[in-house]
Amino acid sequence: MAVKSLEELRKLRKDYQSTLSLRKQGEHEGDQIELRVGLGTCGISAGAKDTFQALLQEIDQRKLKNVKVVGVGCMGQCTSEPIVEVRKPDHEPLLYGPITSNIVHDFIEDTVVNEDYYKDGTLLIKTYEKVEV
Amino acid sequence: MKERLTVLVCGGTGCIASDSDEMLIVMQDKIKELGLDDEVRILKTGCFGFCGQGPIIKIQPDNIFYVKVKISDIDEIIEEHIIKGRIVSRLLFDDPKSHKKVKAHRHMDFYKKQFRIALRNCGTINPEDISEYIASRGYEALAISLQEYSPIDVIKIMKDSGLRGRGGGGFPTGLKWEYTYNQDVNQKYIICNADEGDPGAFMDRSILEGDPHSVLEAMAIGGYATGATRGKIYIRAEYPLAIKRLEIAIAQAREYGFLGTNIFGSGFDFDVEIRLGAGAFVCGEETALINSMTGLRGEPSKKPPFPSEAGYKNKPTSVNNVETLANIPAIILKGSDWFNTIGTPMSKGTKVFALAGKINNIGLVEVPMGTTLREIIYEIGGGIIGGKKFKAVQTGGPSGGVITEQHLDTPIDYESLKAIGSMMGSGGMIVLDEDDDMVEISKFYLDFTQEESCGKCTPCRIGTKRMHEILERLTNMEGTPEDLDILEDLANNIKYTSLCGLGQSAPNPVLSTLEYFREEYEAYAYRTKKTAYTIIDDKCIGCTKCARVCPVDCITGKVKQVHIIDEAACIACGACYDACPVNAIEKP
Repeated sequence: MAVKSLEELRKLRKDYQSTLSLRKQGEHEGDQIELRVGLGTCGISAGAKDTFQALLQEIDQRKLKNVKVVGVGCMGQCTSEPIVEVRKPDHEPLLYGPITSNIVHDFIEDTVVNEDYYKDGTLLIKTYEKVEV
Repeated sequence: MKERLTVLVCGGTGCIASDSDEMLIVMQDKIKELGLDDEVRILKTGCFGFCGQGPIIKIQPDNIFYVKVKISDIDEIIEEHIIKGRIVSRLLFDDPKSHKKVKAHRHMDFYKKQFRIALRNCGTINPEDISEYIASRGYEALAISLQEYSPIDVIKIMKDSGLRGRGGGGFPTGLKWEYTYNQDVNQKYIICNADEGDPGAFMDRSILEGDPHSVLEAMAIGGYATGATRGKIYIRAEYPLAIKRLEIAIAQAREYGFLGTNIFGSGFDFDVEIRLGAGAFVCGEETALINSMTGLRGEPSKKPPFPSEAGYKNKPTSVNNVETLANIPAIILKGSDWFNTIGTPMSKGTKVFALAGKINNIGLVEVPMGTTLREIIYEIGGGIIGGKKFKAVQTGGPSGGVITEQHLDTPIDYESLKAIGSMMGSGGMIVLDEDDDMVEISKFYLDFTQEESCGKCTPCRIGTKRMHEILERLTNMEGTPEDLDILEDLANNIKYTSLCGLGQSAPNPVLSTLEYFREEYEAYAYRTKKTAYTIIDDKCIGCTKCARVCPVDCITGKVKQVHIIDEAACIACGACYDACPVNAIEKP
């Protein structure tokens, strides 16, 4: 499988790039939206893993470069799981729940693409104060 | 299932020595057992550089950096972090200054001031998988060179960039390539010098283990620029992991057509072969290296002729060091102007240093030329262990010298280090604190060089032996004040009359310590040196702690009475000093 030109090499690089994307996101500094999915026991039983996958797929389909999805511990408000926290640079973090996998499409549309709140039927949990350590 | 996590397990020699390879397997098995293998990727990378904190496991995109991980911690990482998203705080790095837990590497002092060019892929990609190197723009510099540049263009880029040899000599790489290019001879060679011999330096090994393709790519670029179609990597047999990864990389590069005939359809042929060295220090010297490769004894020959005129098999040969080569693809991709903006007027780019000794953060650091020693030791290195007093830093290994407090603010480059009596060398940096005995340190290096002297020229063969004998005499308290003059005289003679770099630089550790720490030599020469610890009578509270920790039981005394150290039996280990709660013990 000899690579015969610079163009072929660049095409190959594109094909291979996805394996590094999680690492690139992790190393990225600056403007990046972070979506945190609560992966506590209650979150997982309410379908947080499906939500997580749906978020990844949605971001991939929309080719969003500046969004990363991270799993975090229990978010605390178990009745509203699966909870997704949206962290935008220079904005207060906002928590939404329940975000089930079937509404992820609209959720991403509102919060990330339109840079707005997601209002459609789910609870917007007030922001909270937390000690910075 | 889409992949949601990438777990990077350090696969450098340091971490493997603490079982990181077994951790990788345990982790992969467990993830498979849990059915998570399609959403969590676990892979081995090259060295992260922070070897003092190994084994290291990094999780992305969360950007969490776990340190000193043990096999018994793997279950907790999987169950807590990977499954439930909860960070395992006890495995985070504990900042030695603020004593806070740090999650991401970029918030650690150790990484903050670093700028990585040669180490750009180390600890980020899987060194055994060419697709990850290609995904990081790998082999693009070679393709661009072959398709868009002439050999003269490539040489010009290298000359304009100001890149100088990182093995210690500091010779401009572009010029070396140009000399080789100018030889009108059919067969030429390019040799990668991977005979890293400085005790304490391991940057070349880490690059070959962590990013072998960058070196292969640079060799092919060098081959194109100089007109060499054959590349040889001379590597010491003591680097089995680097050799294994190089072999894998060479096979993969051949499969993709990056080595072999008609590379990128350009008509350029180039292939690489590995040659194993037996680990003689002198074989890092290019003429000795070439002799060893030819099957002759590993002894240097006189220059001129330089290898670029008559090297391997008497053909024009460019010998380039591993770290130098690792810089080259980045320079081709980003341009010489970019490289020129980094570093000092005479020394461009970065240098990798192996930080070791009495320092908090031990590991490999890559910093722009011009960074001061103070920044490296106190900021990146986190200062001296236990808050002790800094004494000196030894740079350049057995060929270098010591740098003391007064020169800590010198911006590091080839010239400035030479001006203060040390040298860049390959980049070993050993930090010494107040407890270190400079005469013993010099003796250690002389012991090394006199053993590694190849024996070809008399000054080095006999001279270093005699120097070592004098140091032996001094430290045994059998020396005389005249010994110091003989030592200095001998050192200068060896320096100016030896055939190669080994002999010419072997006296440096002695000369530089004689200059800055002559009183320590005199204490031995006049036999006034105290060799035992003593107890200050009016401070001792008779707590018995010192007597309990003494490994040779040379401290006697009753509870609540002043204790006494038997000076003849004391081995000066310092255990009592550290144990004493009231500072009643005096150092020798």
